Amino acid sequence: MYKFIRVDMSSLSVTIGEVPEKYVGLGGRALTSGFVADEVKPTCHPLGKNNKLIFAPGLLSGTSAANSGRISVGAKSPLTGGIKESNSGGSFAQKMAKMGIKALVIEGMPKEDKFYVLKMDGNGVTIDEAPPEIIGGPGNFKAIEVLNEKYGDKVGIALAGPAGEYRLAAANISFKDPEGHIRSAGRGGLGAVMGSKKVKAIVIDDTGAAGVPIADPDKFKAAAKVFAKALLDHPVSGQALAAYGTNVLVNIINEAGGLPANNFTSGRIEHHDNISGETMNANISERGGEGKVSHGCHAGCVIRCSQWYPDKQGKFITSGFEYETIWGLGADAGIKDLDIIAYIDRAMDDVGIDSIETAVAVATAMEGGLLPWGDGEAVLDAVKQMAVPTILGRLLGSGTSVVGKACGLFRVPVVKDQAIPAYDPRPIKGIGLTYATTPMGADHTAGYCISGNILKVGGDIDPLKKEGQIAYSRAMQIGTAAIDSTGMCLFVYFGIADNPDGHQALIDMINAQYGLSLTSTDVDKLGESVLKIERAFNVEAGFNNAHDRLPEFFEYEPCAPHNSLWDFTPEEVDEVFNF
Amino acid sequence: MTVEMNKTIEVRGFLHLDKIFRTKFGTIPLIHPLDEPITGIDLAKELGIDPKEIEVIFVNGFVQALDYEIHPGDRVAFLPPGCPGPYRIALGFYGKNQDNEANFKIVDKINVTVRLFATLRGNREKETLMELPRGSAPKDIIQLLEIPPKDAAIIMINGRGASLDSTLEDKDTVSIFPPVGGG
Repeated sequence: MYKFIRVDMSSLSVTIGEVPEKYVGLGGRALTSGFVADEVKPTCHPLGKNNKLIFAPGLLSGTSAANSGRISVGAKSPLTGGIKESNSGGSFAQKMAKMGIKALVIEGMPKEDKFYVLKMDGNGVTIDEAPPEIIGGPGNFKAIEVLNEKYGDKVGIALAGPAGEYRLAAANISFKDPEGHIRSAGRGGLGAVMGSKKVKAIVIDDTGAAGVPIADPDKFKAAAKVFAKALLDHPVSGQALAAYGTNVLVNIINEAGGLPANNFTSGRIEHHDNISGETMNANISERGGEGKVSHGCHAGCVIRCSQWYPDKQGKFITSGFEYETIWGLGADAGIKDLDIIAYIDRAMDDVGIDSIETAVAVATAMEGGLLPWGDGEAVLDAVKQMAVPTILGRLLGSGTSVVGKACGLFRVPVVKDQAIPAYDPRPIKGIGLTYATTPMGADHTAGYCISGNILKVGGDIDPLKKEGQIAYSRAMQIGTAAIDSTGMCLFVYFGIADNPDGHQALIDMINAQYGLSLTSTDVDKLGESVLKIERAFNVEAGFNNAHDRLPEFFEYEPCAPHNSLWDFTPEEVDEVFNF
Repeated sequence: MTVEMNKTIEVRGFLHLDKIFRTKFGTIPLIHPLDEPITGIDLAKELGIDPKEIEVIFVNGFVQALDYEIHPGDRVAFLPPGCPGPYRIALGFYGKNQDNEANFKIVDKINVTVRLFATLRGNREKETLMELPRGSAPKDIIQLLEIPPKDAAIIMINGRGASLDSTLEDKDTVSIFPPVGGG
């Protein structure tokens, strides 16, 4: 039987109960957003005792379905002030699912200034005092070492890094991956919520776990095979992501003139070669040693878009070295050395801070005169200051909006106070609509997947024109909300969008596991309902259409080389959520 | 006032074409002479790139189908299949791609080990792993490796005699020998 675990940090007590009826058919984002909308007071302070933090694996997590190991985390965001779901790779979701844990909720807040570790295993949940050697500055790498030592090498770990302990608004929640490196539930400051509840770490030991029950194992196996093949057959998921990582996009988006540079003042850079995925691949291949061109962030990933990036001597620097981070530091902040960017990536993993928010905040800080443009060493030092935290560390760790305000800038690239990611909305208009309207704040992963035939909505899109963009953004957001509920990595999108068999296989797996007969329409409806629930929460939290807007400067500052402007009217933007 | 016509184009290759460009031309971007307009397909062939390996081209920052006409002074990039994310739609890949021969299709691929012997090694790897479309034969391999058919005198697949036209299966080992004599 599935369990629903609630940890009350006010009384330091644990309740393990049955899953409430209404959550039985939900997982991942559908579950976290449904729960937050039900139980979190929309007007609460995100760092106060009435916010609740919920961890939920996806519907397919813990099964043999390829790429199904994502963990969703939800709460009211201290960064945006709205509802937030953030998901991550690593081993946590699979362990929770195998132990039959539908969700873990952390609520309340201890009175004393002491940090705790929640330990989940076959016997239940204990609340231990956190080892002092991982509190007050030591980074996530050290914390993983200490917790592995204390609880065993094979445990799953979720961490609030120093940034989370200090409740910095851009703090992430870090998850241990199968090799002991770090993946992140990056956006929206959920690490600060965890820190506000004085939970330093959650350790999960699935020894002896029963595994995930499957209603029709033969049907499941057959569908899982079709699904995995769809992923492997597609050149994106089957080859390009493995070879070049997500960083394959630097050259592509730069060529398209949409790579935001120097705090969103232009869309193309000259030094794209220094920071491209092709160069990253070449560096890793040449340097050998501990470098790996391709690896997966959780067991069962067949796409393997991650990598181990080594220094010139072949020693491991960082893993999960993503396009967003490299774009942000390399193009938006103008740092030209990929190795320094790798060290900064590692430092952000260590301090537990969102790399997208920080990269954009850093570029904004550069425009504001707080840091020299393109100075990698200065940025590396500034990130490390977040572990102290110094005033500069606190400022940068509070996100782009706060930095922009402190520096008195109008060119502050945020929506709902969350930093805009690596695609300029002026020459790539569809993305701009997603940034503006998603309940998550500016988020490129919120509109990532279409669940049906892309040609219907995407057949004739011209990125510089308005035609078709509203339908595109709407369909992508709906599809993504559904995928986010399955525990699937968004990159399965390719196996679904271009290959109808792949799409059907995903639905078949869910049906086979739970003994259901969902159709494609049901999946769409799930996506729609998640978005509606999230939007309703935000309205109660004080949001309205005026918040679904891009910063004003996009309307009058042209983005070279296409020199395009953001020209959607408010009425047009509001059309996206007209369903 | 007269304006000097720029009789060159700036060309880049992405993904695996990046490495090929660097090896072949020594530099990225390649500054390529161009007097008259040329289609993407013809430019690819001129540069020794198989058009079947290209999903779309960029011309002056816009995604275009391969038969688009490139003019002197343009900035061009070749993009193999592999662009991830919603950008495939957002940047217009699908819109540009539908009738194009190089349109991305789900292509069934096989992996074969290719062993070259004696004089065929020359400046080539003696053993490589090659990924080929299903239905490929040794004649496709020698074409890719620029080995003239007369030099590929003996073909073996998994140790058994075969011909240039034998159909290859996934995980086959293909051995290719030049005309050899002796005794």
